[in-house]
Amino acid sequence: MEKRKCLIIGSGPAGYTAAIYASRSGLNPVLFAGLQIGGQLITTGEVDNFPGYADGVRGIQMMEDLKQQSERFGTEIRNSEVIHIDFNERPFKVTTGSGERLLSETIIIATGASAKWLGLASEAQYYGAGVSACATCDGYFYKDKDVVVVGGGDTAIEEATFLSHLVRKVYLLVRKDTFKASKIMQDRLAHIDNVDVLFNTELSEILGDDHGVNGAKIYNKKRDKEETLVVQGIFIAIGHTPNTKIFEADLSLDNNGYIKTIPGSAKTNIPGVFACGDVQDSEYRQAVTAAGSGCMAAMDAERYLSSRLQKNGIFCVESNINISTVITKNGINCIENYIND
Amino acid sequence: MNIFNNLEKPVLLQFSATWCGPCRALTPVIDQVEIKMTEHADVKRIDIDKQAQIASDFSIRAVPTLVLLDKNGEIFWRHTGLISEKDIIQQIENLK
Repeated sequence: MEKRKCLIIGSGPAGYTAAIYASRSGLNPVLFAGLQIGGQLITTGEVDNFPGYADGVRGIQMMEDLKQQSERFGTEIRNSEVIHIDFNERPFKVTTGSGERLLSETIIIATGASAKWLGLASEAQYYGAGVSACATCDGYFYKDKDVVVVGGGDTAIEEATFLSHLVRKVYLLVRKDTFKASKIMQDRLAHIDNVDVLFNTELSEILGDDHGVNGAKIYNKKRDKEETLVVQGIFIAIGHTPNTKIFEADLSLDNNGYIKTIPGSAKTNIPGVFACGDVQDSEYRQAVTAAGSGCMAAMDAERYLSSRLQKNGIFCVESNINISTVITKNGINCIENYIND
Repeated sequence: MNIFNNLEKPVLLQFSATWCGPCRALTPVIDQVEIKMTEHADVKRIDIDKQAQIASDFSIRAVPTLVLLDKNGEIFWRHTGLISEKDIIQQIENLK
């Protein structure tokens, strides 16, 4: 079976940065890009806040740059998706969706987060036929039409702003009576006259026929009033959920499903398993913080590998005793990562 | 849709656009499908900006969208968004 020192899962800024550092450290990493190759940034239009791009950069371009940079140092990138990891065996046993099986001494998880959906039956019914979570992908189809954007955060305002240049009118539905978005994004919206912001308003049903979406039923909580908007597109921008499904049985997760790491590190509760990027960050969720944590994960992986001692066929870590607990396995003292609940 | 009648093999249509990030991310996956399934299906790439009529004929309202046609030109399967190579190949296998 193929054996690796370092296996990285995910191809956003965290995964590629981990790959750059791991390959430069001689860990010969393999990176499984997964289904969303390039991560969430491939659906973003312009990225203006990543240091080094003085004039901004398109999200997809930035991801292609990061991919090339990681390949330059020898990272092997595969497009398949990791579907299972056996964390009980060392090296860890990894299975991919295309049937590959590998062993790896360390795992770096950078699986990111995915767009959240409202959960309406009509949302799934009309997905790709009027319902979208990507204005930069699908806004083109709504030129001179009316659309709804759902959400009150930065993503929702970014989607509404992008669409306002294409469509006739944007109805921005905000569940609460204020935005969650940053001030700079709210200010940007204030200068656009074809976006109607409807506070205290929820999307209760998506209406349509064989040709796709043709309306939205909305409910104003404050006025206890339901009405119907005639729109052709619905863009959902209500936040993200971490991609941790295949790890939930083994790794410590917080109440919202994000992977817990030891503060100041990328270490998870399992020695040799590291997490970086949005999959472990519900607070900042920026490309630059993801990239920074990717660097931390690769450095932690490299230090983990170089600090292990092998005794009687068992690898143990004998450093960093202040952030770990010592347990005994077959008479050998080993360090176990411990995360406070 | 006349151009897709009486086909020698099933056809996988990839509707995409140069400005669409996920479309560019999906392209290497489709490249692999084309190589592996060359005996069983043809792959046609449709740029919706250059071939707007075909996109309209297939009611495309989001990209990337994949449409798999059987030999009679009938739609056998349709998918919007990113998807794995394995799942696309499975759909082509289902047509055998």
